[in-house]
Amino acid sequence: MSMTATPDMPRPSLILRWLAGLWSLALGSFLCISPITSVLVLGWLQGRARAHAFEVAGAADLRPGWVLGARGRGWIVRLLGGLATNIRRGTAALCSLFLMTVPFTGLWLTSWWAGWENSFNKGYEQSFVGPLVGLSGVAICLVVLAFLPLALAHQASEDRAFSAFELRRVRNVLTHTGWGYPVFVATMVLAALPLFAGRGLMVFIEQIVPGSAMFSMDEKAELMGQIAALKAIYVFLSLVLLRRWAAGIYARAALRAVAQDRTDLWAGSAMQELAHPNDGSTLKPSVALVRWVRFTLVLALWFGLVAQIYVGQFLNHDWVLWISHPYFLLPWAG
Amino acid sequence: MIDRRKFNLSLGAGLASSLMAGQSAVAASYRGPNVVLIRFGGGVRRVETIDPMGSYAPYMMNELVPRGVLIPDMRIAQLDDINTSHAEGTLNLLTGRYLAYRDAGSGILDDRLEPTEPTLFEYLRSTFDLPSHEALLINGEDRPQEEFFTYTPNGHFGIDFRSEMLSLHRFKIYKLAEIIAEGRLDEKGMKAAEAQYAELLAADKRAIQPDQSRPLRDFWAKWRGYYGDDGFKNPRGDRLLTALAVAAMAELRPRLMMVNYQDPDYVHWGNASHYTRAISVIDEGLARIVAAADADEFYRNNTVFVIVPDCGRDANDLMSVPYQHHFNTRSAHEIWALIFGAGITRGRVMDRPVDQTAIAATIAQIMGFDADRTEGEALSGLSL
Repeated sequence: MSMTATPDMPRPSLILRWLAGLWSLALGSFLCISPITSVLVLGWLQGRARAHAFEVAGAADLRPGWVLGARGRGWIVRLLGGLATNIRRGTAALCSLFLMTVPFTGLWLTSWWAGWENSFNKGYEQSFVGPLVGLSGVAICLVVLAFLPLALAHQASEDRAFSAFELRRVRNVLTHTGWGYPVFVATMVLAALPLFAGRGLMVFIEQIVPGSAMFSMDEKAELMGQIAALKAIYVFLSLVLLRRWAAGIYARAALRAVAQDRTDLWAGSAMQELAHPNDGSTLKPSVALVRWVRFTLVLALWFGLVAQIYVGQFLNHDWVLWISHPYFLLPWAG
Repeated sequence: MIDRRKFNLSLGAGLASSLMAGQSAVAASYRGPNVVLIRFGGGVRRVETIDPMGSYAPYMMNELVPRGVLIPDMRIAQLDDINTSHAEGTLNLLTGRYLAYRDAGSGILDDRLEPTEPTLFEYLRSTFDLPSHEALLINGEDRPQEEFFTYTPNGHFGIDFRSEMLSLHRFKIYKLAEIIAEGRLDEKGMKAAEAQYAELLAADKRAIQPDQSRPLRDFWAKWRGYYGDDGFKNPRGDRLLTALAVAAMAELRPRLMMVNYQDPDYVHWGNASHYTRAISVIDEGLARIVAAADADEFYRNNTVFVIVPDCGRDANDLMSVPYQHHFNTRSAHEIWALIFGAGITRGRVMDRPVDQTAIAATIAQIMGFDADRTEGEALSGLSL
């Protein structure tokens, strides 16, 4: 079964769209349970972000399918083209996200391990190292996260590996976002709260599920499976909405940026090809002070996610989760 | 027959002693066994300590368990408002009651409790004529909130029957007072020392802050002469507690000493090996303290050791580090105890559940004083 719809095909009925949505929810959530399969979801989300950005720009693009590819390009493409595209886009997005986030996640992981190792051994002489490295990671994280949703949307739009690192374009987009971007970031930080609560849930499981202390290993595995399924559904649904929202913000800002581009910065980009001559011509760019206030607000808002990560690690520590969060690496509900 | 001069001298000395110590003039001198109470803290599970297959305490399992009575099923009662944590568990052990504490000015990430019922030290010193340095608490540097369990501030016996405390906190207070009195620092150094001294004193929020006794100050003078002022040469972490305990046994001759080990609690930060390594460090500490007692005539064959955790830890397989303890899980209530030494049956395992509050009553019975406000009952079946 494919979710693919081409622009020249008749729009499916409401029932069919509901069924397709339910199928995507079930399959996407299932794939979010494992880090390996979540790469497919990442690719699929990139395809949806691209489709939405194009839609905002007034063009149409193929909505991504999970497995089937476009019609009329041979049976292999038809049978497996969607899957191949999702793997390609997912892998490319994962590489970009990893390279963007590892400067701070690596520092967090190192500082947490080395800092507490030093503290355990009462290494007073080096006690400053752990906090210094950890705080450096926080500072880098806030700056990276300020750009990350737009950079990811840019890569989705360009559909080119590592285009998220076209920093001048991404920065140009950021300067053309309005107050909707801080609202988006605030929503994303709030949307991460259930994931944070899910980590706490494990801690209080004996109070929430009476008798669970006496569960057999099979019963515990079943309980863990149920919790993982719920988390996966939430991760998938929230990312479908948030990545679409980010793509919309990106597309509107990029169209304004293209319209006001005097330096050929956007030459050859997807957004330039889609832009109409009058796009954004009536909009005045924000003054620098307002942009800085907005940027500072975005940094402050992202600190909410950092706090969730640190407190969550105190409640229920997991080394892997220093590196991965569903909102900035894999859509994995681990 | 006593002559008038001798009578007056002894009466004067007795009165002076009573006034100085605030004790009853009729208190008898203590002649019972010494007791070393070791808190196997902060929070350990049975499986990593007394389970023969999983224990990281080989000395305790192989050398100490055969010397006494192992109580594998000691429990902290499941009551409303019970927190399975370190200060609370320590006060359960010291008072023989649950919830015998109240908030004493807790801040964010700084829980501060004070006992509301008499501690073992107060019972002991009110019954016998013991100077304060013979009732000793030894505390670590990571839990300053446990520095202030030396007496019950309100009612009951109070400050005159307090224990003394050995810890880095106390050493720093001593050291800074000496440094300020010596006056050898330049103006900037003096200001820094005075500020640090004031900060340390301010950490004690009790209305009355007892000075350290003369024997304690002498002890710290020796410690300072040996390790210096910088804090980089003395043992660290729970090894420091072992060093303080062994030194105290040699210098201060405590009759009742509690050692508050704590480092297994480092597992809060996610590294499981900190937990198991800390258990091994405590095990090595036990070996040193027991060896010191066995080698010293004052303690040999005249000392009872009581080893007991302050609380258990979780056994939550749903977490990658299943060893937290604040959340009132069943496993956090499950602890154990090992009692061995003078007059204690050897090689026995007590096959019934025992409550944590039994520890205080049992120590009271061993030492021969009446701890009438404890809730627990003294353990039967310990004696030869």
